[in-house]
Amino acid sequence: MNFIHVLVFTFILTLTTSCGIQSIPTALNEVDASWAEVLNQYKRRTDLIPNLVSTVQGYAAHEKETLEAVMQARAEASKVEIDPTKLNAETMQKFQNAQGSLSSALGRLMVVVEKYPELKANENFLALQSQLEGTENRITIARRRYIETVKEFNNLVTVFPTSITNSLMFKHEKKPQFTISEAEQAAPKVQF
Amino acid sequence: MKKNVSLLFLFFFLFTNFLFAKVSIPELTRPVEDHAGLLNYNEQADLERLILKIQSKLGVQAQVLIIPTLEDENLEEFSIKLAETWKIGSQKKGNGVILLITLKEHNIRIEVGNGIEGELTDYWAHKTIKEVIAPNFKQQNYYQGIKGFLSNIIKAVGKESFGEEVVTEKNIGPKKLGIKTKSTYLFEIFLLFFVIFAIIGPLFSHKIIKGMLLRGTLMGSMIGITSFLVLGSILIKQILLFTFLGFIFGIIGPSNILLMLLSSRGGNHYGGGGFGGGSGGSSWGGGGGGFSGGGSSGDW
Repeated sequence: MNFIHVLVFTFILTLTTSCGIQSIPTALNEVDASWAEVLNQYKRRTDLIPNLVSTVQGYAAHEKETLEAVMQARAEASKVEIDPTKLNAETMQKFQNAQGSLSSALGRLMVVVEKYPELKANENFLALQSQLEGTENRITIARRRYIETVKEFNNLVTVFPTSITNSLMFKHEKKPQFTISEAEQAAPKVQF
Repeated sequence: MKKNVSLLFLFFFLFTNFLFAKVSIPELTRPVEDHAGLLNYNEQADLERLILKIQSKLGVQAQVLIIPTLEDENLEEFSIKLAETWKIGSQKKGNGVILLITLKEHNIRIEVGNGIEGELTDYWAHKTIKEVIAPNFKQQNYYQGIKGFLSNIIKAVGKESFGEEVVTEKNIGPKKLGIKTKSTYLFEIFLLFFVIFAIIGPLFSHKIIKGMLLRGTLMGSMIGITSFLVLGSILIKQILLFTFLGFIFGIIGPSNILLMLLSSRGGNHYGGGGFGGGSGGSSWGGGGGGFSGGGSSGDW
């Protein structure tokens, strides 16, 4: 009788520690934190742009259209900021599209810059170009880390046994993943 | 017989752990990991000396990795994976910086820790590659190129009076560096300990000291203290291992140990290289530093 008590007690104990009551909120926090980092890096890119545009303007004023397109895309992208709590497949798609358009506009700008050797040799421009490259790398890495935390979280929420805890206690939805937006697919690839 | 077999398993388990290594990310054992043979012994020693000095005076932990090829991997992806595995720099400050060189593709990448992106900016990294490293590498002056990288770190982190020591034949060498001296001889030291067991063991015979645990504790603590004195406080992993083994030896009874060792000599083979390679990382390693992708890529 005693032995059975111990066995049942141990069984229940293992269930409670592996059921997701700790791991689901933790994973959710990780998702929120990594999304905040993604926003952070995209913002960093957005912040670089005014300086970049004015530097290019100094040498390539004729390229008004391209420059205006960049500023326009930047304004659009700044509008679509997503709070982690409001993150779902739809808002995610909107966000990606806006940023994708900005990537395209930037890509076209960099193609145009190739025509101006003096600009390309300008110290200020070179500094901004390095920063832009670095930021694109940081964005890629932030996205990758977000994807990992979402995978972790989605697994907990959909896979047994933690999925049971989720449907009983938390009722979280799966978090959206990054996909390649159409605008991103169309962005011209420029080798710096 | 059964006892001996289970002991064998214990040994096997304990030692093969040292022999496992990660597949694509190399093991971190020293400040300049040259896996393509671009530097000679003196050059590597000099660069490592400078790296240690930079770390002690400026706090920044620099790391160099030279690999023969990336194969099909993407440079930035590999670089960040490397940084996340090695965790160069302190956890609190994130002040690590890694120079990655791939020989076949002629790639150069500087990966900057997330705490010093203000001093070692992306543009700093870009210029260092373009104006210092690449020109030297084009002339096959690999040592000069890497030294220039380190000088640029010193300049950027802002201490003018760094005091460059003159490099002479006298002050280059493993003794001065304090790197890898003990760990390369680890296998020999280990053999020494077996000899100690064989000598001290009989003193702890059943008749003289009764009680398995008492024997174990005595043996374990003796071995532990001796290994601490011999190896120094750096190789904690190894000291703990030896203490644990001493404890086990004490419990089991030294005569059994000797029998087991003598009978299973053919079965236990641990290459000195594997052992040394596994524990060489104790005196140099990452401090938990984080990376978020800052730096720059280039080629020569």
